[in-house]
Amino acid sequence: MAVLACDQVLVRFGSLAAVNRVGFTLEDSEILGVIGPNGAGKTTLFDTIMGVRKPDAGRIRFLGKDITGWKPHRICRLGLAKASQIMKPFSSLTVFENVLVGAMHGGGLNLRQARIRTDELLDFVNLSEYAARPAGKVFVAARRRLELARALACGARVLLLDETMAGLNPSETETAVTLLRRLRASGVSLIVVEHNMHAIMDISDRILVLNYGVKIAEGAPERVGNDPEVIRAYLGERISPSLREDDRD
Amino acid sequence: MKVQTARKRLLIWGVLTLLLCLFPAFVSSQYLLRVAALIVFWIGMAGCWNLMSGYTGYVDFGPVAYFGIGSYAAALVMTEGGRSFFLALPVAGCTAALVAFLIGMPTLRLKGAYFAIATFAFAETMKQITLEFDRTFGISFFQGSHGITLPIAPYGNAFFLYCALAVASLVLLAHHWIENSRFGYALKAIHEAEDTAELSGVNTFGVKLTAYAMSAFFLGVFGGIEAYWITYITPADVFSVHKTVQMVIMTLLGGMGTFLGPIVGAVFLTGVSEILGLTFVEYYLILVGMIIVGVILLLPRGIVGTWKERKRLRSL
Repeated sequence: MAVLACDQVLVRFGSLAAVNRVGFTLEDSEILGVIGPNGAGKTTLFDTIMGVRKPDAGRIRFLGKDITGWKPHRICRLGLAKASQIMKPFSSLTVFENVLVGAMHGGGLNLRQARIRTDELLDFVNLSEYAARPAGKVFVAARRRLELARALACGARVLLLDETMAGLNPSETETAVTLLRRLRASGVSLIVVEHNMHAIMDISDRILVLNYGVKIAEGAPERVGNDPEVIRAYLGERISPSLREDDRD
Repeated sequence: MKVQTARKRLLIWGVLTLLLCLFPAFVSSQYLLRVAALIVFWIGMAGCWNLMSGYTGYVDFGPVAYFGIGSYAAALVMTEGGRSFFLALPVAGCTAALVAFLIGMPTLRLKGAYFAIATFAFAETMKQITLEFDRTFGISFFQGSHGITLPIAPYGNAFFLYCALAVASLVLLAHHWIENSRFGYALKAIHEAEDTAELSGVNTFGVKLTAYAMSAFFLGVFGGIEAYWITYITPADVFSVHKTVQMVIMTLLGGMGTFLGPIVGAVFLTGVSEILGLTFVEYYLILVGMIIVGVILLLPRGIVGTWKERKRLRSL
């Protein structure tokens, strides 16, 4: 049974379909990469899955349960969590306290248990040395790991990662990729949105391509990478030399 | 570290309470007793505003609505109902909390300035309702602008000092519980980044509603105490926006979202007003105003907030 299933999800802003009848499934311990140009509807799709937005049509099922239209906090408690660069952290609270909130409320633990879990998670993402630092005052790469730790604290079985590798240098990206692989090994499924092509092609089991709210391709990274429509819409013609003959103008 | 701070809070509260309990034994001046009772009363009131607005950051401009509801509930229980003051108080609190629950449902969906305006409008509406209700429906209940006269209390100011102390202690206990609990962290998370809090599993709406109703309950009880203390209440009096302003300023001065904030703010403002009022009878309002502006400009996080901030920066 698929861990997460989106069925014909439609999200309209006025007459514009930001997410146009998109359907896909996410399997257990799988990393699904989602790519597409800016404005393709990736963030809107994530918002809809997380309950921030209600779809105009379609259903979203998590572990067999229909969660369409549920409030975000209920979805989070069920085991679905999102991390994104535009999600503000709790700046005045310490790094430790940020994760603690996730453990207590998303994870449903009491204060004492949550403290233990927070220590474990900070260790897992390598943030233990910054535990007492206010979250607003840690550098970018650490902020990303903090977001990840907080999402994990909610007891997530599925993580939606929206451009969490943005702004990282190559070595930081490498660390992030390793961390995501470790997560998959521990039984967590991931949907990853990234603009860093190398990273996402490297790490994904499958790739989904969105353009103008429509799913235009889905499949193994190599196949998607060579799909002419995908290349035309997103990757640019320079990637595939064989097409340059046809599109000389 | 957390245990130390908790013990410090308990110690401060314990010492203050002890001193205040013994105060009437050593002081017989009704004026001084009244000032002491007033200070404790305002510690509690500022604390009520802090419980909701200080911790969540949702600036509430209508807390006096629940104060007034409590006053009227208590007054009616004692006059129409003929019951004792000690029954009137919990009824006042529960009535206020119930109304808060109903009003909170639509209002807490608003944010920022809209929330402030809506709560302010509600407070003004309550004033109008109590003023016009009787005349509109041709009955005799709230008594409109004639006001309600309560039975005269056979107690002096010391009694009201103890009443205020008891309720203020409960308010401070609520603070103490919030400072290091699951609920408290939810409030702080909402204040810092509400969307992130919701996505981290915090039931933001439920938590806000709970804080709002909790604050309203204590405001209602204080309203009941005030009604019995001054013996005569009118809508303009108990629904006066000046009470809201005082709560807000005291908490701002002391420090929003802290345990000591309301205490420091209430003591500071009441103390300064009384002292200046005695020394500079004509100019004291201007001086108080200047002090308020000065503190807000120089210490935007309030006295306690700034002190905490400096302490944290020094330890980094």
